[in-house]
Amino acid sequence: MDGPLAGIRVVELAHPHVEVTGKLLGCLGADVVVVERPDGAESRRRGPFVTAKSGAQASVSWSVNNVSKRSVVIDTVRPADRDLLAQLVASADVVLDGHDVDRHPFGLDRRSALANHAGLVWTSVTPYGVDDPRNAEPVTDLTLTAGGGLVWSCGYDDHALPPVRPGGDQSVQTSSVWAAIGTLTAIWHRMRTGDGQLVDVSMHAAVNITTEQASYEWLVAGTIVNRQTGRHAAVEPTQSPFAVGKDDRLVHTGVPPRSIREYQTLLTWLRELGAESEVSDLLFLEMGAETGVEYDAIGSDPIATAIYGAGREAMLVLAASQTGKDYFLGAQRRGLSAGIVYEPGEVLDDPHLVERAFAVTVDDPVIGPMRMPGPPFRSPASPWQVTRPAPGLGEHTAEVVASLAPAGSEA
Amino acid sequence: MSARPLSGVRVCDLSGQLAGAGATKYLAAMGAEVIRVEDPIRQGQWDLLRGIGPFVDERRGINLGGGWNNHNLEKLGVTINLKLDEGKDLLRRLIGASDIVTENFSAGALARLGFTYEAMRDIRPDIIYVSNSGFGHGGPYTAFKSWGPIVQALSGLTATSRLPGQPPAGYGLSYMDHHGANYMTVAILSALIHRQRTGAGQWIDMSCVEAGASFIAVLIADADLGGTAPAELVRHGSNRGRSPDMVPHGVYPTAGDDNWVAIACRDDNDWNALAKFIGEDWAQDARFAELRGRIDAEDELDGALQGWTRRHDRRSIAAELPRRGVPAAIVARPNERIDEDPSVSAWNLFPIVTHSEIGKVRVEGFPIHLAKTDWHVERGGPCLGEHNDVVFGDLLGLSPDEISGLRERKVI
Repeated sequence: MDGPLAGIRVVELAHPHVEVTGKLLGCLGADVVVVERPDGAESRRRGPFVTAKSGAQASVSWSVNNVSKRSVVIDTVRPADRDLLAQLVASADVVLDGHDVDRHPFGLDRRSALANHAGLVWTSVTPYGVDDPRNAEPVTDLTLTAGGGLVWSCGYDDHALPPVRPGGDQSVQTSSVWAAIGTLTAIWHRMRTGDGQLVDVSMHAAVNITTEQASYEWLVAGTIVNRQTGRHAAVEPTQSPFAVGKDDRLVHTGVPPRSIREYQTLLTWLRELGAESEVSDLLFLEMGAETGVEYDAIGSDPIATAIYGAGREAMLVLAASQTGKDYFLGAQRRGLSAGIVYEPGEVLDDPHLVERAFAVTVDDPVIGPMRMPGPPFRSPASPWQVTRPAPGLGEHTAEVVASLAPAGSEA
Repeated sequence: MSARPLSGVRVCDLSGQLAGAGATKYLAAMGAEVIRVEDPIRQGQWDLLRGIGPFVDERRGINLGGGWNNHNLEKLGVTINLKLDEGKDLLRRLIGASDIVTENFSAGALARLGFTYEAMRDIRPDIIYVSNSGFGHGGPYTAFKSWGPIVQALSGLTATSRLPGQPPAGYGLSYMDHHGANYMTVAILSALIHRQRTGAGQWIDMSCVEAGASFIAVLIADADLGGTAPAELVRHGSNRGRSPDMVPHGVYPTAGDDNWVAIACRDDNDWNALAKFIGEDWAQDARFAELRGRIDAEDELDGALQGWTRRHDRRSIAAELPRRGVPAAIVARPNERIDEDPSVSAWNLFPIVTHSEIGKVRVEGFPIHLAKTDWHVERGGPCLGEHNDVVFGDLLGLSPDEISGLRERKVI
């Protein structure tokens, strides 16, 4: 079954900032052709690395972020290759570009491409937006997430410790989803009008609006949130949601109980485990089972605050009485929100994701069979799917040339 | 104002919080007619943000929540009591007039009210129905509850944000509420494109945990292959530069209270430029000249570097190093990245809208600009039931008397 973008050609000018968007569009059915220079995309040399079938080191990053694409090599020193690139752009519905227009390694000029191809969607992902002179400054994921505000909100209660940049290149991840949103919007518009256009994505802006209440606390009330261990950065300190199971597994206790039913459930569960005596404020827990607690009253009404705190404490006691997994499952099966903190290597083997057949196994020609996260959503009539493993360097140059060149000519 | 690309698209929006409302906020800003449906009995407080601060002033009330407003710009607001048969009839009529139905209740909640995909398809054959829940429909955790931090815990995001020797710091926000909304938007736009090509609607089941895993797909795949990247992240913390190796690479204290600067040396050239800027003997140590030496002495180098940064102003470091080709940035506080950043101002990232009761207030815009069909926001989120007369009267064709009757019977 075809993805929603079947028939759409995307020319991705290889750059680390656009490869995740290219993968998403490819898995949604587009024919994504990644254009590399003869020395290969930078991402091919980016770790983490594993030992390949051949014994050489192979980039996991490349093999994960470039599935569902074809690869064409363009050597811009060669006039024939420059012509080929021009033909490729002319054949494209979408160009994905992460380069600064003034220092473009493929020598492409988006302005003239957009002027010459009325239906072309050109999605440009740059640190600060295409017209911002700050693009001349060097950036990395660390500096983008620091300058954009994500780092300010992440870290520990102890402010002698530095704030934390989350792992996994989140400035790129965040920008990539927005680049996909903008591109899909432009494709939709083109389907209805025939008009292409520039989609301008600012990575700095993308990080800057992905900080939840840190932004609107300031925008609305002029207040500043401060980082806390494992929970929302907040204007006023809040209690830790982490609890530790008796196997030392970290669990997240989620939204604390507020309803009568939730307090009753906590009490019943404590009694089942014979652990109610370990709750220091059992009286307040029992009051919660009679009255619940109003969100607005927490912090201002001492009784409500104590009831709320007793709920938290009960969760900590319950977690400490059993393994982390048992607490997570036991809480959720009783209708209480909870989560267990998984390391990356545990995610794909969670029984729920296994039953949903979430992981996809890709037979990577270099690494061999490898599992990776599957569809971010299930759209049965137009599915997200991996159509091919990440391409070898220039693996598809000949077939793409053949599809572009007039019969009998030599590109 | 440029043409808006989603004009003519109508959304029956039962979603809420940021994870759902954030998606339909984008659709509305792009011109879709988004009709947010809320429960009149609970005053819309299924959405925890309804009526909750921050507030612009001392006023309090169900319509005055700052976060709720931020996530519901440009939408119309109606109330329908879905526990009543009349309310269900009203929702059926609204679905019949809509292209898309969105919701992010716990999995199965809307079906229990009688609104399965099949029931919606009977009303409108080409309906696009998007369910966004923590765990998705199907699988042993289908009925489980979630919100951003739980999604982040189970998808591996929490564990990959940390310092060495510390438990995970996780994310200080519901990161996956943002990205739940963003992937929901991708799903909706994809389904619209599919329907435009084929005429067919569909039901899309989205699990935020599954979407969350995609944000660390490389780390997950590496771990599954027996790679060392996740273990290295635990050992060194996520502030350090691994894959690719960059040293020094971290968040360093500077003069003042809780002031920090991020510095990333991508290669030897960056280090040489930084060492020259520092201009102290320790920075000229030959062991640091090449990456291998800096990796071997990373703790020592970081210690010396923070000894230097502590004596300097973060803004001058963050201004000067990029001019010398070295990536650096202050760890920006909200006021600094919102009010004091010329790039953000030029982008109009935080525009002002007008809300019927709040008045003028600044909100978050979007990090993309489309040259011909850009987003536009000027109207704040709707007050509870603010557009009942418009939607039930003008759109669904009910008379004023019929609408009054619905009010009297507490259907709306």
